[in-house]
Amino acid sequence: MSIDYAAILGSLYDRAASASAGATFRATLGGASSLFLATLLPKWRDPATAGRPARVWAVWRPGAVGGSSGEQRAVTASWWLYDDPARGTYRLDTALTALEALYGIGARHAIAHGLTRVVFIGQVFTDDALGLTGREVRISYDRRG
Amino acid sequence: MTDFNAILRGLDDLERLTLRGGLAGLDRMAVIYERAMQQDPAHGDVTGATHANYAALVVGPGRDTAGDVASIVAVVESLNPGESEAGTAEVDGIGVILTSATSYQRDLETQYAGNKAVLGPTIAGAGEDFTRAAAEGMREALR
Repeated sequence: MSIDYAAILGSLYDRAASASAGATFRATLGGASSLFLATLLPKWRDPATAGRPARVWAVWRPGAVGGSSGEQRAVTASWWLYDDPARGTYRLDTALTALEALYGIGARHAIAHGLTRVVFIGQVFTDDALGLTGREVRISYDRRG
Repeated sequence: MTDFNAILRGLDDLERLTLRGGLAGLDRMAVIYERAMQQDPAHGDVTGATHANYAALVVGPGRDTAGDVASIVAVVESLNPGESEAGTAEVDGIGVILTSATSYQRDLETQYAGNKAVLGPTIAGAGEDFTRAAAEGMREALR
């Protein structure tokens, strides 16, 4: 069975962005507009930009696909969490905990025909361009295809 | 009568051949990944240092890569003086370290949600390939 990357990445995104399972995670964010695609980040670079979403942000970026055709594939994507430096890391870590529940050990079969996992939690960093602190949470969906 | 010394020697040979084969397999795959990172278009490169110093270092018994790390630091210093940075890592058994020796790599990996990242996406996609390469190398060594 071939892999439908659009369907897999869509399912991974929807799980946090719109599914009922993601309600707890979404409640850790700044608001309904605080979850968006990475391609929109430059738009919100300037803190004075009207309509800039409230922090905490959850920014989605699809990642690499590991493996070879016909063998085990690893479809990866990341949620990049951002907050104001003055808020420390507590809110970031609260969002991180909610993500772990969404994609972690208790949700390994959340998407059919494969194994969903959190495979990397990055250290807290400062993004000077955005003036925010952040953390990467990388998820992987593994299956043969 | 069973010669236990012969059995133990055989087991030692098995371990030695397995490790040697695994390292050979990783070496072959490391060349591919190192070249890919050095040509990755995710970011620009004013001095050439950033792309030139990406490295896939195979580590294992007798291979601590200290010389390789010194080499990539030298590459950075020659192309972009004062911008090198290196650390240490330990690997149990055999493995591969995908790395860079520039002081600004951390920013490339994280700014704008990893928009210019090279190491992170490469590592995310490389596990299966390196595991298969090590296994194939071991199988060849044991034939």
